[in-house]
Amino acid sequence: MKVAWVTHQLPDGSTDHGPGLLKGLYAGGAEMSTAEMIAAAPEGVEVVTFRPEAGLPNAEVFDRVVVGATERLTGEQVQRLIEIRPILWVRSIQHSALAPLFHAARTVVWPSHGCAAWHKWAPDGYKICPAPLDTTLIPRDTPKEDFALWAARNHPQKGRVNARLWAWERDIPLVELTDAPRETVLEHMGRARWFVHLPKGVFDPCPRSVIEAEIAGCEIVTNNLVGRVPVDGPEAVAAFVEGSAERFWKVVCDD
Amino acid sequence: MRPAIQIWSNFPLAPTGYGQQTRVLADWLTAEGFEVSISSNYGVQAAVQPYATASGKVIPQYPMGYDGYSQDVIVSHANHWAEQTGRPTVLLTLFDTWVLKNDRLAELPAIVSWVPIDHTPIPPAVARWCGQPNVTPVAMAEFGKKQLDNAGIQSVFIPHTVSEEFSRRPGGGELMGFSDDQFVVMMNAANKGSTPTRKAWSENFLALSMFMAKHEDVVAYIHTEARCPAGIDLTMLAKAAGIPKGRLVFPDQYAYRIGMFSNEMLAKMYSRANVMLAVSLGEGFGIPTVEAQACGCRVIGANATATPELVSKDSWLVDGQPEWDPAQLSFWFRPHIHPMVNALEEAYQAKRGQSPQAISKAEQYREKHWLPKWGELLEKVL
Repeated sequence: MKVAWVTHQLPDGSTDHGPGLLKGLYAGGAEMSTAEMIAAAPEGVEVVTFRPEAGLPNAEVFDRVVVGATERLTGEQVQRLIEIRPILWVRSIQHSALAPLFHAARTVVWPSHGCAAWHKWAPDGYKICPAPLDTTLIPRDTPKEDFALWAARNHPQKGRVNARLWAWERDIPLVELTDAPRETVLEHMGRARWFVHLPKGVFDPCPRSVIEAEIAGCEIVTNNLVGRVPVDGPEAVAAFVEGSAERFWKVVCDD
Repeated sequence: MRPAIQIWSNFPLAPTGYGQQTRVLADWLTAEGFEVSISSNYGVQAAVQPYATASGKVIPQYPMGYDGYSQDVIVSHANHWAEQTGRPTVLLTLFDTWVLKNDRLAELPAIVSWVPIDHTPIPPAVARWCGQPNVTPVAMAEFGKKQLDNAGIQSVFIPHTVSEEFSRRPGGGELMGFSDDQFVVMMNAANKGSTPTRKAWSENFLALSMFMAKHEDVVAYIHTEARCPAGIDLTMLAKAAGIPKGRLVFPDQYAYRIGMFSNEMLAKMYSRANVMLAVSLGEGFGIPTVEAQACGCRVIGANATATPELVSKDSWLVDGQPEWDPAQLSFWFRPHIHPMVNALEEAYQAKRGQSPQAISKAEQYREKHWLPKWGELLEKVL
């Protein structure tokens, strides 16, 4: 099966993507999860990526078209995609002007029910697939210490101040990690009793950090701006995200 | 690095609640070593002016803009202060937040908004502002915090404060022109706004008139501008409400206009008053309510918004009903007149003299209890 994957969320070769973005190959979690999902394509599935800036694929030579991000699509490209009826797997807040594309899509795949509910204009029928996640490095059963952890990009939307206020109100020490290596973040998640993610001003569809922290056994502190996986508890959450790629590719191949 | 602070509000010598709280904050933060300036949306025009804080340090006051709410200069002033100090600047707003419409405010690194919420539920424009990523709302009443909580918006609670100048003092009768045997009802409210009149002038004056009709010894002192272009003609209202001539007085209007009434003079008047009538359509806090109680004077207030949490158990709360405010897309509170008359009557019949409960209640809002929290908060928002 040949799959065309349309997205701008691809590595661009640089390692410094600017303020508020991750250092390294991937500017953010979306780039990372795109790469991980494509890498998890089953045997026999060939994935070819297309940046919208470089033009859309010729749909006739592909069995499926997946759209992984819509922000850089032109109006004309949206119209063409409506005719193509792609599979939409988007992990950011979408503009209601894209409603015709969403209603025309073969399947809409959201990362969380919360994200689906946020888009009241989108079709009721959808699938849930957060980004795949390798959980093997996430510490489990580490003795917990009485501190709270905030770990995210240093952007106002990520709620660093909210986390400080939360901890201040409760007189709980807060450790803040930003631009830290994943191993450092995971190590802290293993020990922290609470993981605090209280974004501000924008819905966070299904943050990876929250998933990792829940698997690491942290009490999760979030607000109504955070999408969560539809299961609870470290083991169930781990199983759900470990199976994400398989579920997604089944949607693509069986559709 | 400790941030620099710019307070956007009325200028600190303005005889307004905002002006007063700006003065308290600017004085305290400066004494604590913060670099502070004031961006005035009322009271300073034409050029940057010096303001001498209580500790003697002189700080700049930036002038109003041409826009009614100084939105044309609010961001420029904050950026200028940041350049002057070489420090990232926290803009601390003390005013209605629905007026903050300059899109460039989103570019500022951190804004702390000490936000009045005087409707139920939180008005959409206020919620939108408080939900901005770079805004940390500070609720000035537990009522306001609850409205923010209900909207899913994280906030901090720091109430307005009352200074030690407000304590029981003699001499208020002479200031107001009343004798010892008269029952004095006092109001202290800004005559600002006409549709609606947030201070419920018509309800307050009608209640006064009905109450006065029963008791010859009742007089009222209304500490406000009797006629204000931004408000209403209270002399005509008093006449239409049937308040007998000479039994409702206003302060010397010129002295009021130029801010000649000190806190000490107000404290004397509160101390003499037998009851403070402070019923309104909604309060984000209600500084005069606490000031009066600090001087031993009980209060009649609305059983809505911030007022119930501010008044002593031996004060009075009057009921009313919700009224839709189409401008704010939320509900005001319309007080009912007969409960107000009943409350005035109960105050008349109650034991006269200072109320220890009122003084104890006001004590909770002394500056020393709350100002340190500002220092802790401002270190956390950048």
